[in-house]
Amino acid sequence: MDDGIKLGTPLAISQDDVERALLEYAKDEPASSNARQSLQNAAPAAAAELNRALDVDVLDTLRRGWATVPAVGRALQLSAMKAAPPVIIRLDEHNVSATSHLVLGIGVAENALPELRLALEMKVAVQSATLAVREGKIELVALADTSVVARVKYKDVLLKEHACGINGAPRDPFRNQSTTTTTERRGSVDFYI
Amino acid sequence: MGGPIMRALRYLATLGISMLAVSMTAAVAQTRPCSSVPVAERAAARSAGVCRDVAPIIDAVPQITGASASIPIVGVVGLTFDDAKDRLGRFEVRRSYRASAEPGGTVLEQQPSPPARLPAGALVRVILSDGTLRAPPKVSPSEVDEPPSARAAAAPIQLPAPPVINSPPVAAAVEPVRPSATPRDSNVPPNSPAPISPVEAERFVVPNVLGMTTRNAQSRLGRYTVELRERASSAPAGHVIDQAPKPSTRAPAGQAIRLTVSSGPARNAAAPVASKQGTAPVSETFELANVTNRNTEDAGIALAEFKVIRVETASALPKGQVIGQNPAAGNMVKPGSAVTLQISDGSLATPASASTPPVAAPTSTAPTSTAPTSAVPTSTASVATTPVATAPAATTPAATAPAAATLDTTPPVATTPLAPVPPTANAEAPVQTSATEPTTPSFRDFVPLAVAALLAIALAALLLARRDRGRTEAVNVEPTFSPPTQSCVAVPIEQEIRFAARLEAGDARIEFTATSDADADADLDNGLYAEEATIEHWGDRHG
Repeated sequence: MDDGIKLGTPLAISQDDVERALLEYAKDEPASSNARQSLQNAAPAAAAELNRALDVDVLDTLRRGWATVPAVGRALQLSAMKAAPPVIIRLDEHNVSATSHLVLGIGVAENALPELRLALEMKVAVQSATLAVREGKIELVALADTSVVARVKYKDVLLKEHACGINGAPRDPFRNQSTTTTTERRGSVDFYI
Repeated sequence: MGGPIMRALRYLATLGISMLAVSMTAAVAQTRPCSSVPVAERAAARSAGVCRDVAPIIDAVPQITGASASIPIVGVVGLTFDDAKDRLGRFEVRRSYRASAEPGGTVLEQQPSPPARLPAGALVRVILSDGTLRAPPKVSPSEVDEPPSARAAAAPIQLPAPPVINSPPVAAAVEPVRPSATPRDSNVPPNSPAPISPVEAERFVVPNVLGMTTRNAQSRLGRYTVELRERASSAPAGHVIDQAPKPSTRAPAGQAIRLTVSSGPARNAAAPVASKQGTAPVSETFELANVTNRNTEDAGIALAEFKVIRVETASALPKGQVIGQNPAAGNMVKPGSAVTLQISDGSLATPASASTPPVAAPTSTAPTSTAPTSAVPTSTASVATTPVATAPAATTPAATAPAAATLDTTPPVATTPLAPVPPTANAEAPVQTSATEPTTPSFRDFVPLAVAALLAIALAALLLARRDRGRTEAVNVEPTFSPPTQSCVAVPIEQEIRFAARLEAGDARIEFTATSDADADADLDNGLYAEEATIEHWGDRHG
């Protein structure tokens, strides 16, 4: 699952999305009005940069929600303190709501304009999920039918919305353990697990 | 400011006139009147300059006794107009003409006549002869062809009694035969010698009368004896189609000038009728005279039958001097054709050459005329200053050969239109030009200077244009080095924009879907948070 489902997959930011965001951005930030045309011309570059920041596993967002469950939290703490066999936790049907911010820093020449903050809202409906907690980390063992609804907004302006379903979660929760622990990305999501 | 200057000029003029009068008086005093010389020796004395024929001009000394003082009138009858004007310098001289057999320009009468006295500036009218009345030649051509020296050495000619000159002429046909140059002055004493005879006179330039009517030609040749011949020609009847001696040559006054006059087109054009004297038929075209180095007036006279176009050119030669002609001399040109003369404007003359006074060259006939012309400036003296005026007459046997050779050796300039002929190239007057050549730069001397000046100007213009072009390029390059603007307002359109995106995690919530109450109670009993999360250990499942 880590190999195929990224935030950028369902939420690919296009040039039009950026131009619309910049248009609204220019209304709120007078300092950028002088560079409005240049920013408009640089919309493709901005879109590429945003998509690069979205190269994050979707499960990371889910993990943030799963970590709020008390049983999962205690298991994470215990597993972090002593080496023990992983704790298997099965979660029944639930919904995870996570909100993130996609921040775009803009520099014109040597000047920095106010950041463009896009809101990334995700609502994941999980039929059932089986988690394995070991060494302070959450691993996904099994995932039943899951639907994901993602939205990208600039304030109240909806820029992008995407819905997809996830099926076929891996049965061996530790098969991809190494990859999970070694992943480092520039725009990584901070998970305090 | 004008007052002192005018006074100074007036003073200088008075001083000059006084000095001139004193010098003239001294010159006259050195010679005695020819009337005091015996008749048998008079001619030789006159030739040697021992005596003079003109009365002393003592009366011409200005008497500056006041503005209202009267001045005695000097007799000028028999003199040329220029001489008369010089003598009557204190008066205003006006002239009128009368038909007469006297040489053209000779004073026939003056009003008032001596011994009247007039205040300075008064009007004195002189009546000049127009020379239109002509008598048959007194001197035969054979005699004319003799050299003047031989004639001077011969026995003096006994002049006939002077006719009455104040009587109006009746007609040319009834004009009595008399010498052409016999000035008679009422002021001259009765025992004064006769004026200069034609044989003894100076040589004058024979004007070009080709193409003129007979009357005009006779008027132009006033001082010569004109012989007319008729010849059938396509030229208008009555027009001169040939003349001998040729124009621009020199001949003494009274010499016979044979003019061939056209009698109209011949009936048989293929066989033109010969003249009455049996001379060869003459072409309608005339040979162009060489007017190079002559002044404009003489050139105009010499080319009277042509349409003269004057083109002024910067030159170091005196102003008005002909420096080139097109067509060149010697070409046969139809009358009325355009002849372009290149006239010097004197703009390139150096101060030294410009201030050089004209030098009267000695002529071959000097023995007969040195004394009078040195004391009294005459028109002939001024003519002698022209470069070609000193050439010996072609009609005299002694001078025919050099004159002809001179004319023949004149380089033809037909291939080079308007080629300026420097004075040095004129071999006709070697004696006269030798005095003025070194001080008068020729036109060709200035050609290299003019070319060099033009080249320098062109080079300077090119350098200036190149420098201006370099300045323009530098101006175009300058903005590259201007400091970048710091104002955000003037942000260029294509300025560098950098983006940096990151994902900041926000809050996350999980909501479990409600299940049965039994399951929820069991979880609570197990101390679990909710029945949504089922916890089991790895060892429990895998044994």
